[in-house]
Amino acid sequence: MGRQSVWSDQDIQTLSKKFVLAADEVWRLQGGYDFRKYQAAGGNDPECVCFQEMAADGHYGPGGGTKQGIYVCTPAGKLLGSINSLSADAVRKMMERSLAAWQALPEADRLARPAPLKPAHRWEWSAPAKGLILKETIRYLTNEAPETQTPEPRFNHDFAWFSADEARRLIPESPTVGATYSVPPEIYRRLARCHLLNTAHGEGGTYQANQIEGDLTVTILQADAEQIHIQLRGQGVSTGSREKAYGLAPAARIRTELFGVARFDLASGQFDQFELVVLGKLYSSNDAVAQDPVDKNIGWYFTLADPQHPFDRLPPTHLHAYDAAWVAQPNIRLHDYQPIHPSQK
Amino acid sequence: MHCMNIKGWGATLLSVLSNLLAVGVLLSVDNTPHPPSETRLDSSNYQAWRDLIRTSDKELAWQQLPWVASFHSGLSEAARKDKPLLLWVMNGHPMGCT
Repeated sequence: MGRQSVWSDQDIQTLSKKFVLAADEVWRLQGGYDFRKYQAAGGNDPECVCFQEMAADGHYGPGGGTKQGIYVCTPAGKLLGSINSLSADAVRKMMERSLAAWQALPEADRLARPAPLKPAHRWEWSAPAKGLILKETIRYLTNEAPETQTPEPRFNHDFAWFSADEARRLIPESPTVGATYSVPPEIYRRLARCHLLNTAHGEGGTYQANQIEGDLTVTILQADAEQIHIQLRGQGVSTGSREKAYGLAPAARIRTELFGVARFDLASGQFDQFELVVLGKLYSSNDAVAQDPVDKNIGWYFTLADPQHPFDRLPPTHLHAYDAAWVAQPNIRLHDYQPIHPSQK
Repeated sequence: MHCMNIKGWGATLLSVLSNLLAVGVLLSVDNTPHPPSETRLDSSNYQAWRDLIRTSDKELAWQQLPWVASFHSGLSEAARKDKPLLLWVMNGHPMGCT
């Protein structure tokens, strides 16, 4: 939401030229739900600790809990101002105050430089070489025909990663034109568990493998010595747990229908075209009852990420939940930790 | 063999399902996956759905700003340029799923 309400604002865009702009994921930086527990457990990633010390002076204060928002600091990490707001006016005022604070700093403070901040772990370091890197767009839909719908203004992006070996397994070893093949189940499972989620308006939790039903097939449309053209088709149902979950929980139930086309280049061993559209129906109940009304319609679109676009190399939001040995996990796994529910205190 | 050819399974499967239906085994709640009833996603319409879901350049105006994608890269660049760093952090990367 802030992407459009704040950062598309013309005054903000002009003012932003006086700053270096950076964006990052906060859960890792803040060390999970409570940075004090992270540090007590031995968490000492220099980048995260620098952020934690700065954010302790910010709008959410020194305690645990979320540190989301916008911070302005010196190159040494000294806080100049912060806010968490979707109001362009409020953000602009914070930027102006921070800029005045920067200009009022003694020269020694302004020129102070940070100690080397090489992170100990970042998820993007696991990006699979020569793998299949997909950009995902998620948007709510209506029941109407697509030609008559106006795009819902809020949308979301994510990225889906498959190693070179996993991507190659989308293509049978000896493809026959016209034949249809089942895709190895782990490919569909990753899509359904970590990507076909109710995330059009914000993050959503992942499904467990045993909560996923469905499959994906590949039909060989055309094949020669250089390229293989395929059509993808699939369908599935993902059902969340009936148990109350703390933290992010996935939608109660999603039914999906998948269709796509892709082209595999044999010389490079990579897909050079890939489009997959998924339509889904979200239900508020876990029960598979025919009369259960559809809560919302949702769509996902996957296509090749642009290697020249810096943000197209961001890691998948739920990379920590991938069932893949090639994903390097951090020493302290922050996604296993959930805050204690007040009733359990 | 990476993928399994599913041709030939159709007739067998149909026969098994027919037999099961005949004895009433499938009369309980249907938990098998099946496509949403109102949609027919296929080669004739997937591009229309794609165009509805994917983003326009106007919607991505905020990406025209020169963001760097990590806190530590931002601090380094701020030091090089002698400017303050503006850091935007969210649950989920602000340039990705947030």
